[in-house]
Amino acid sequence: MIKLQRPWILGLGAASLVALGLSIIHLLNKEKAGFWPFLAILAIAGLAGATLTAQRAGEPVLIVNEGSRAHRTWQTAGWGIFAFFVVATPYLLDSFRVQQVNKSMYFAVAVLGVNLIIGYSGLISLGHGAFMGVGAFLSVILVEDYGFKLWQTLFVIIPLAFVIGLIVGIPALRIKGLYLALVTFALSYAFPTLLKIEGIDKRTGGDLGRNISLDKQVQPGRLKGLLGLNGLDAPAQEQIYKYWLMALVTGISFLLVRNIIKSRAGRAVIAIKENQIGAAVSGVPLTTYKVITFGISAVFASVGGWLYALLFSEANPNTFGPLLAISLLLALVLGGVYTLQGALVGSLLYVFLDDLRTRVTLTSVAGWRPSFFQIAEGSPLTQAVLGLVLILIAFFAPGGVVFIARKVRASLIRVIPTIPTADVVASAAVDSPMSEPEVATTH
Amino acid sequence: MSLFLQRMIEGLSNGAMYGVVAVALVIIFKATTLINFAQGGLAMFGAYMANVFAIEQGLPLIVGILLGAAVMAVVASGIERVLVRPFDPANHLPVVLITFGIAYILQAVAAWKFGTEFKSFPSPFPSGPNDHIEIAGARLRYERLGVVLVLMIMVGLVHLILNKTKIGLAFRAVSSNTESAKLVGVKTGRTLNFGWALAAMFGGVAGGLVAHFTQLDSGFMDKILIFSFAAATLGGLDSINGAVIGGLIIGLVESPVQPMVRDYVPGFHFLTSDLALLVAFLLILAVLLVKPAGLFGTTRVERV
Amino acid sequence: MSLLEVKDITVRFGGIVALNDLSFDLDEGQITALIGPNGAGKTTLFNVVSRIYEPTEGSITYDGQDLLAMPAHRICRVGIYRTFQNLALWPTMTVLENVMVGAFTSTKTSFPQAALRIMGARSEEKATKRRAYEVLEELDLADVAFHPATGLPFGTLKRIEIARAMIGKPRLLMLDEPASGLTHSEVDELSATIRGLRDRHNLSVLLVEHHMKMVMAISEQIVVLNFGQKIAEGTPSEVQKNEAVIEAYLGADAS
Repeated sequence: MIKLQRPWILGLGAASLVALGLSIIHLLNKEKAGFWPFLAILAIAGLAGATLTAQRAGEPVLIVNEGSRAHRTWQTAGWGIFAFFVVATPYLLDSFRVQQVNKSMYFAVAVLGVNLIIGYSGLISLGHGAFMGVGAFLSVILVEDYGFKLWQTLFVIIPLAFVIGLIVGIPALRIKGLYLALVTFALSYAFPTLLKIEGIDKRTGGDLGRNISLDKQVQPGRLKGLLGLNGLDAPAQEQIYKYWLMALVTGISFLLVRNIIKSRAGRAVIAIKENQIGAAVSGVPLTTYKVITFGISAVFASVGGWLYALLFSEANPNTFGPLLAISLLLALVLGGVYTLQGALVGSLLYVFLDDLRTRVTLTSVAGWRPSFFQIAEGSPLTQAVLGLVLILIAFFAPGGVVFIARKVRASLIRVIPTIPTADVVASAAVDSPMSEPEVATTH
Repeated sequence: MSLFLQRMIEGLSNGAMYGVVAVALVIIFKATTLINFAQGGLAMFGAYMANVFAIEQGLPLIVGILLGAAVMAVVASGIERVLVRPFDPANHLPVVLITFGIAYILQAVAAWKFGTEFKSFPSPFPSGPNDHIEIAGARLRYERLGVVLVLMIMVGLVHLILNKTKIGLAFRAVSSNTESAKLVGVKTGRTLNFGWALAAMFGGVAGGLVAHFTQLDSGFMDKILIFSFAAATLGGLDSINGAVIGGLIIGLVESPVQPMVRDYVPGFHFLTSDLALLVAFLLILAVLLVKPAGLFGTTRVERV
Repeated sequence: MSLLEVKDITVRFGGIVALNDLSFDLDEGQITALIGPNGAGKTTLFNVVSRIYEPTEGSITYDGQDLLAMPAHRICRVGIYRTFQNLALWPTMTVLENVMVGAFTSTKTSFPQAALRIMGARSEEKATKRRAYEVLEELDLADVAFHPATGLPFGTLKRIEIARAMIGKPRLLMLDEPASGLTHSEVDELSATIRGLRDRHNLSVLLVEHHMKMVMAISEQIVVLNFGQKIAEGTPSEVQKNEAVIEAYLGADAS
């Protein structure tokens, strides 16, 4: 550790985070509001206070070397809080809310794929709803008509989605800029139609879609006891069991994407986005890399579709149309384009916001043009909320929620990166000219 | 044969409507290299306004449609000024978000204010059962021919505006090089604003024409917009004539294709007009593979 | 022995002739400068060699290979790396990561290897990072290694581009106006750096530069262009005495 001033600020930040998480969970259950709303407000105030105090000091509260013991301690604490919420969430929420969290997870995996294309490759694709559809329909069809187990279908879906991604990607990526957005948006429109063509509709169920029959659906299995499901009612058992399956797949997906973007291949993809010519003269084969990235992003979208089938045990062509494509985009920008965590954060926000807008009732300001201000529950006007959010993000939070969170974190903690040296010549680096001499001394 | 001719005219008149909306998209793309995903929403709202002016207030239909389009032109110029201009046009994502956001809001407001049920909408042309001419046994209905006529008039009009007026000259200057235009004193902001208004005017007129064939509801322009995207992409996003020809091609492909496929390809006999979307999609992909800038678009040389 | 042979290269953009029948040889291990007034076609030649522009006529041979038969991303595989007049860096990545992209051709982690972190992906990443840092140290850039490649002084950014090129172990390094935006003392430092790099790494250097003092000081051979045409070629002292050069370029400069 190099410097820790006023550690209470960090403590306040961490405590506020935990309090905020807990109060959100309790507010979602909303049987009794009690003191939870106040705790939530307090927690937000606490976070803001910690940030502002740190910013006023002009220097982060904690400055540590990457990989030092202090850094590890704080990292473990952070991951501990995260792990606590991952484990506790399904047991603290009622089964309807757990299902919403599950919904966010299938969304998040698909958004992860969209982010690879929009965020990391800088290509605006509005066609990933169709790839989700590929995943969902293949799962249902393979399970129902070909006797696959649901998990086995992944071995067909992943390679197939990659190939379909390439087939769509190769022509699509010759197209520049917003042409690509147009063509992929047209694909989103065409996809449900394609599924309803006679012949194909025998497999897809046409306008009605297909279900996975009850005996083949995912049921809480042997792990029931381990997951603490005994004694819960059936819907809760089902949702919590699915929660764990989906969390596993979501976690693996995030890990894979993180590994990709932090590698030679990922840097090449980002390089193409930020300066194509620079990437080309550094030896990056532009088209190959764009097309492969498109294929990979299609795979994640299709795995999102697979999770959809796992959660709802059905697939309907109309689900995977243009509206879904725009929702994926909305979730992505809510969370943060070009950030890894943005996919999950944005999906959670989107799912709960979308639910909230269909339930909210706004009453008029007393006596003043009441008809104009009254928005009944389920009014078509609530759709406008989503549009408004899109515009507000573009104006006020172009980096999404994660970007704001990173700013907060940066004002609290600064990590000084380790100097990459060969282990044997570590001492050589110490002599190198450094702007911050304290780094060299502690190394 | 007569049936084929009749279908051709139907296809052309559909194509003309796509063409008008496609021209609207092209006007905005030419000036800013942006795409307005709210173009359909604006046109839809314009048609509802026409409905208010003409049916509810009793104005002549043509006046109603023009008034509706004019209202949307004002709205669009407001949108451009407040919501679009603050962003760097080279950064596409914000404008995609904003135009989708506007589309959402317009649809929501329309559904809320005007109801969610379908409303029938009259045609400005004679559309009774006997309003047609017969050529070689084909019945060519006036309402169909009228749409093609309107397209021709509007394209003529836009060429007149761009080539004979001062603001048209400014518009062409801004489209060919915004920086240079600014340097020689062209007010680029005002010019772009004019472009958005003009485009919305086009869209609004198209909305008023389409509504007769599809009926009014908050989503009636969605499909038209997609076909217009296809038309504009096919023709090349920066060519007005390309957009018109693209629109006509898509219209022709859509209308004869669908019954023919239905009749001759086994398994497709119940098919709805939606197949056309698929065909249009494949058509664009094929064209873009051969000519990435579309049929009539210009390829720009990149400077390093 | 000549490493790069440019023969009868003509580039036309529509009606404009950017390069007209340009031929010259670049000898292995030498620093060759390409000079001429603005718009003479120097950067155009760089772009032709990088396979960004397609020449209308002519051929380029590099080490016995036909360069014009290769796609742009192959050029650095044969050892040609370049920098840009207006920079081609990646602003959201750190300086270190920018340099690591330069190591693209000398590393081989593929998408699946990267995703699963198997088959040497981890150790290669570590080694690349270390190499990138070493290159940054050699170019006195170690103190900005973890800074994003944006918002730094122009001269620093230009050196980062050199670092990105150097990590690829070039045989031919093409520098497009490396001294622009530098102060006098910095130009001297840069001259020393370029010479040092050439000596330590057995480079050949092709240099486009307006800074005449630097050009005359470090180049062994100079090719002078004007309006897309070669008007002179030779050692610095020969070029300085050349009538056509004085008239077209240096003369105008002196007045």
